[in-house]
Amino acid sequence: MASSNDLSADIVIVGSGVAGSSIAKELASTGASVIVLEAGPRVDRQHILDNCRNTVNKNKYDEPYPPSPWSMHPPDQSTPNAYLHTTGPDAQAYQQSYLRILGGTTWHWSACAWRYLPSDFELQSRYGVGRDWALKYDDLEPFYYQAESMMGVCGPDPKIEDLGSPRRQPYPMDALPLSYASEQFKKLIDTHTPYRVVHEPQARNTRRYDNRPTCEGNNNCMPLCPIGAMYNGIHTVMHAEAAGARFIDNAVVYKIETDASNKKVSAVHYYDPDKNSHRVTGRIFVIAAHCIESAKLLLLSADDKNPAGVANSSDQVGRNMMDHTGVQVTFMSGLDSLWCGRGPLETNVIDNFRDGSWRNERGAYLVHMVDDNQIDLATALAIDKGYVGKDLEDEIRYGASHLVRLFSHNEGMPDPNNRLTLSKTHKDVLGIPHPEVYYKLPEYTVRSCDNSRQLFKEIMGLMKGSDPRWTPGYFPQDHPAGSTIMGHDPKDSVVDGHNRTHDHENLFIASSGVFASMGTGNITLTVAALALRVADTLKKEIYHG
Amino acid sequence: MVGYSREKDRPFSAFFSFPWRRRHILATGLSAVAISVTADISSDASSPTAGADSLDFMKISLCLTDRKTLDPVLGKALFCRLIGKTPKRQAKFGQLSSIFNSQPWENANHFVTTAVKQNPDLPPLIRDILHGWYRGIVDEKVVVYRSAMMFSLTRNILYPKTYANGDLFYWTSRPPEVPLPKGQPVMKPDVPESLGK
Repeated sequence: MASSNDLSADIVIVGSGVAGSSIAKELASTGASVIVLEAGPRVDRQHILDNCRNTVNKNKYDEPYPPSPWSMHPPDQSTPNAYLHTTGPDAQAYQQSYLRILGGTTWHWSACAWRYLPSDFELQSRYGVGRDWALKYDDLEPFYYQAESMMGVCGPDPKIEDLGSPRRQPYPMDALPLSYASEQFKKLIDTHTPYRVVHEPQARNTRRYDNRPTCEGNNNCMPLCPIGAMYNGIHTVMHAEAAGARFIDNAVVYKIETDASNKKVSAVHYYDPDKNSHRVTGRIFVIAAHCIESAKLLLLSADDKNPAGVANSSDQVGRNMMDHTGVQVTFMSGLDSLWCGRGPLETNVIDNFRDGSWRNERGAYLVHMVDDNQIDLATALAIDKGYVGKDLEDEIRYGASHLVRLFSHNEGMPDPNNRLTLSKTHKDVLGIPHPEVYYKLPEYTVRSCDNSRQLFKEIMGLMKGSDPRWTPGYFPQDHPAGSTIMGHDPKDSVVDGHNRTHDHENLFIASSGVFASMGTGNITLTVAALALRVADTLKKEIYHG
Repeated sequence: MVGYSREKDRPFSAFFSFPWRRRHILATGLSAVAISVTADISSDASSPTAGADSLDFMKISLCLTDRKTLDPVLGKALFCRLIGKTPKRQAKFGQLSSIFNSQPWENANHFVTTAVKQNPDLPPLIRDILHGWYRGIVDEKVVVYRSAMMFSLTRNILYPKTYANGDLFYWTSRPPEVPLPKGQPVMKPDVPESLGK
């Protein structure tokens, strides 16, 4: 347990995902000294790609990323879990997947890059439910565009397809062309229902961008884009390193230290894999270690000055856990062949249910027809149904060309009882407790999921669907949020509208933990926009006091 | 029947170096030849009769898939994983071989219908063999990925995940229509409850 005290920087960041790396890049570019501490190791794309090809179930997105003993992440989404221990009536629905490696969880994501709607920031004001954020959409709009430019987001022309989030500039790249399957789905929905199918904004190249290639449609966005056409946090890590930021991998931060006044953070402490302890001092500290790990670290740092954990005078750290819990069904379409799985995984969305007056009683949602290669499922089904020989091959071709999967992202709701705590029974090899989450699905979300199921049945009817295979209950969408919730009042929130903790003036949180509502659409672009806004605040702080 | 003569000095491993053709199996006396050369490949499998078994495995596989050729390298790998290294399947495989060698078969449906009638315990083994050839998976392990036979059924339409054809936005083009199949299963369904969920 040796200790060293030789590290110091203007900005010390914990976590190297899209949030941490984008702040590091922005600040290092101005000449500030930046240290980023990442609990996990560096990984290389080819190694992960080999793992992908050797994975039996290609939908198990965690499997190609085996966790290190000192930087455990959930090895799968099963309950009970070897790392993320979920309890409560909907424990399975909160079995989140995330990565603790350099570059963070966007190594495996679908690259859907939604802006939230203005109403998502004002749920309480507009609909009388949930909470408002301590910022408005307009505050974030410039940073949304900055994030889109950083990541390389393609999307539709708002004059043709307005996605509901006002824009001052067009998307950096043209929208990704819909696959043949998505185009047929769009025609069906547009013609036979009052709903619409739109192009999904994606952090994926439709032309060469940021020295990365155009998407080739390898259909493997999750768990890994084989060619780097899809944005991953590691791309920003590389830019940040080029700008002078120092990333230290395998550095597991286990304590945040505050000064005598308890108004400021003075240092963070990390273990290396051999459990040697290191202390890192700085002027400003940013915890950007994912919603779950950020809250875990704040709780873990409890001491005499902060008995409930750092930044936790409100007792809200670890509470209000949310997600886009979803429903899912796979079925055999009875219409013409679709051949889902040609191209990237997700290109189309039904977006009619992202907002409406009904949000006073049930959550919003959006629906994907996933463009997922179904040949393995088609083959397994045909064999298990008892076909052999030529008939088997005919069945496989039919299944591969007709199987369809629908899933929804349904809006969660902050509930203080849905709470992350430190496990009293499970610790990692460094002696750090595992995270534990109690979860009961809010009725607001349950009603939203019920509505989605009805819609799925309607769509299956339109598609003359058969052999529906419903995913039991509710399944997690890996968009955890709320653990360090944002608000104006220090008594019931952890950070203010600039992601600064109410308790410690030089401590910021940059993760989805600060979300005060879930909205719809994947959370990563909003995480990136918030992080870039933090970077903007820090620049002012450093250079203008 | 046309006789089969082994080339002089040709090692047995050469049997695995060219695509196995169904006519070699059905229209020749290959199995008789095989018995004399089992020693060449017995080191690849744990059973003392592995050579003969592996020949039977290829013959049965050709029949189960209604194919005229199969990849011999994959066949060897599948045999080792499925039968050679898995004692629990060896007895069942012996029973399947025995039925297979009892008469000529018109096609997969004919063989499997008869085999299952004679021995209702055989479907799991038959399914395991088919999962191996088509999905490249044996006992929840990937034996082969890109060369799994299911991908040969969708060549130039659907690519194995992680691969693509390199054409810009190829996914916008119209793929071929596939008619509703008319075949019927010949084994009772045994679909895991969790499959596809």
